[in-house]
Amino acid sequence: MSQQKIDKSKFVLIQKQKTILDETFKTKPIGYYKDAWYRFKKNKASVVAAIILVSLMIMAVIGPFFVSYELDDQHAPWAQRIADMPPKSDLLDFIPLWSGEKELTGDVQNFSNLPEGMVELVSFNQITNQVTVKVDYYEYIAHKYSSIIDPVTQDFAPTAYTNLTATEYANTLQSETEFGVTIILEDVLVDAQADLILLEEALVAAQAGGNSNAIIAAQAAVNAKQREVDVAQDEVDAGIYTVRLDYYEFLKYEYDIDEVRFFFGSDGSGRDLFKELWQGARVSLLISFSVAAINIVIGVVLGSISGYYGGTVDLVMERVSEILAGLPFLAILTLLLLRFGNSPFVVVLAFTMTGWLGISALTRSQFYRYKNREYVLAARTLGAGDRRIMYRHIFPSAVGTIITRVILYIPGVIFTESTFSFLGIINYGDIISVGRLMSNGQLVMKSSFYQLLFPAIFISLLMLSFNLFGNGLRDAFNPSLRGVEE
Amino acid sequence: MRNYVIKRLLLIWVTASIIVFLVFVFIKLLPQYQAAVLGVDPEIRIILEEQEGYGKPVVEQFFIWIQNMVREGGLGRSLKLKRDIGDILVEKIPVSFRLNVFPYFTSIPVGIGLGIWAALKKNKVTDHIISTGVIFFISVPSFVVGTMMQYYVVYVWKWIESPFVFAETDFIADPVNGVLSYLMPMLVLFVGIVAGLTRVMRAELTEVLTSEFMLLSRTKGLTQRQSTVRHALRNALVPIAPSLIGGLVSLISGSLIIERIFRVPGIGGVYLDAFNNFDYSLLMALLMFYTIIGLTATLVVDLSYGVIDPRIRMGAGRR
Repeated sequence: MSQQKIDKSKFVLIQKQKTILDETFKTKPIGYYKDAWYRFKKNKASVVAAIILVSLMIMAVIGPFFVSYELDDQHAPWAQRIADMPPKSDLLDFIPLWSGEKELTGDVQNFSNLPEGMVELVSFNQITNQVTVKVDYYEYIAHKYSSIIDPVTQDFAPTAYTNLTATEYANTLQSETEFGVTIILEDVLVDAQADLILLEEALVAAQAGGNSNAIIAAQAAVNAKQREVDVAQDEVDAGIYTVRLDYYEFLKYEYDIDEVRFFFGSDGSGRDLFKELWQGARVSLLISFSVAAINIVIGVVLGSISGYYGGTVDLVMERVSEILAGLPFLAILTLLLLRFGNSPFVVVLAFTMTGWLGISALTRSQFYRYKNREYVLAARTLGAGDRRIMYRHIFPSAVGTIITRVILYIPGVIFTESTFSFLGIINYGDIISVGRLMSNGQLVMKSSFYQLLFPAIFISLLMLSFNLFGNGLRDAFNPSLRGVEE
Repeated sequence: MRNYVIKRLLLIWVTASIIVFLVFVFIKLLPQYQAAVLGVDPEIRIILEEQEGYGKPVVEQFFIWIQNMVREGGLGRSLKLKRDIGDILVEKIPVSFRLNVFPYFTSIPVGIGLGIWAALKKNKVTDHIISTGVIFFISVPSFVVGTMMQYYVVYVWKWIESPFVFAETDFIADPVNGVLSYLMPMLVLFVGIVAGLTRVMRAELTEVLTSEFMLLSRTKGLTQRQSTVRHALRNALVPIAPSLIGGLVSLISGSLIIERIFRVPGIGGVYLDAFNNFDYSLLMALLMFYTIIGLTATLVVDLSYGVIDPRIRMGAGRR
């Protein structure tokens, strides 16, 4: 058929002069998606779930930035001192969970030297002769690493002293003069040297007094102090400065930790759980979204090909799918992890090996359902090619069903991922995941329940809101439910 | 019907063989395989190399592996545990089975009952309460339910002494507390199955209740109760019963997560150990075990459809 070019000006509207009796629509037309949106909005639980879901996702993106500092692995000894800190917040102080208190159990003498008002007796065990006390753990830690007194010697306990390197010592001294704060409460070498001078003066005085016993005592004291000075001097020469620190001040000026306050507590190696949790959330969400995206693409493409063409193509693909479906996910996951090591990419790969089967089967059945409809025949008669029919005519009809399946598939991926990382089968090494946080938390739940609680709340909230949201969406996209709810 | 069963059994045999072969090849090709399996003892190494046909093509090794299994009548030996794999399975499967069987059979009447109740009281308070509970226990992962239960029951309320189940020796010494220690994992399993079952039952029954033959049965004079019991329930149970029958097969495979949380010495724990210790011969056997269980469960589900629902005639399409 040859194409004729007709000038546009030759076209005339034949109805232009006539009055059209049919009224134009006063209201806007409501399409499939708009209708779904209206009906989704009516479902209050789903709307709330969607809001929670979005806020959790936003927190996963920006949450880690709220915690500006991190003591990295190089400073592990420093971080270790603030490990297992319970949650504390000055704003939420009235809630017991955020009071920063922790119960400690041990011998009576361990707590007898703590300052007045710091300990609160909870219980006393007659058999083991141990007490359980409640302390403000933040104060307790500050006390422990600065001024705790040994119950036996009645002097400062070894934990009260800190070893600094030469650079740390110099930096600390500089901060002290710069900001006019006291960080070093006691410097062993400096104090010992000062004491030595005093004792030597006392020795001179004693020699002047002529009392031989006093001279001997003073000489012994000088000798003992001299040895202390020598030991400290040797350590300093070796680069170890032994001091008693105000630990939080030290962290503040040396590592920019303004205030040691963990909103979700800290884990067993002194990392901020708030930051860890949102970083884990990032991993979980990223993995599940990329898995969903890949599976949708593969599933829809393969499903539509197999559904549209049918015949031998369909038969072969069905047999392949059957074998793949028989492979247990556990087998795929463990084998891939053993072969390629633990990394998020391998996990995504494992999920996408068989994950697309469901979506593919769904798309296939939808294509079977629509491909013999009259409108498809009409499109074909008008000369539309296979690809056009598939993606302009059949696919839009199937998209609602596919969306709802996919929305409910994502929480399934999160569920499986967190389950396997809880089991330790998925283990990203340095990258933390919510499942691993929970399995770490389970080990210490007796003493630090919050380490289990926060990840548990997070994962439950995420799963609940995803499922509620998905259910709402499914009902909204289901045209047969239209008008039923009212 | 008989022809269909035979056909399906053959198909399963083929599928299982392909899967086992794939898994076998994959494990054999692992870079760490030789070091992990052969060990350091040169004498054992030579024997094993001989026995497993090292240096020959992988396909041939596969047949040697099958041959060894058939000839020795077992699944081979775990070098790490220094035991016969068949013995391990025989020891561990009953533990998992014992743990699974009780929650499974108690949850079926409860789940179906709750589902019926919710469907009959659709959009009333009862339905809302049940549905909320269902969505909660379906969404919240079992490891959250399990660990929370452990914390509150053991450390806060102090009802049970230990969060973990008793080992065999302790169990014999103190059977009362031993049984108590199995309560928590069983409860977690129970709650999970009930939630799933209630949801399916409610969905199926509401669908049946709105269909037209229900209207007919009411018009011809049956009471609500009669028509529900005689007509609605039978139809609603058609899609549920096969999956319940298929679930029977899965009873012998342990739940990894529950066994890990409560330290149940079942088959799930063996799998985790095998994975962590690179115990490849054991891993291979266990994966085969899981594959066969999964395939058998599917087969049982498909076959029981034909038995339960007379509308589905197996293999009738060809005639």
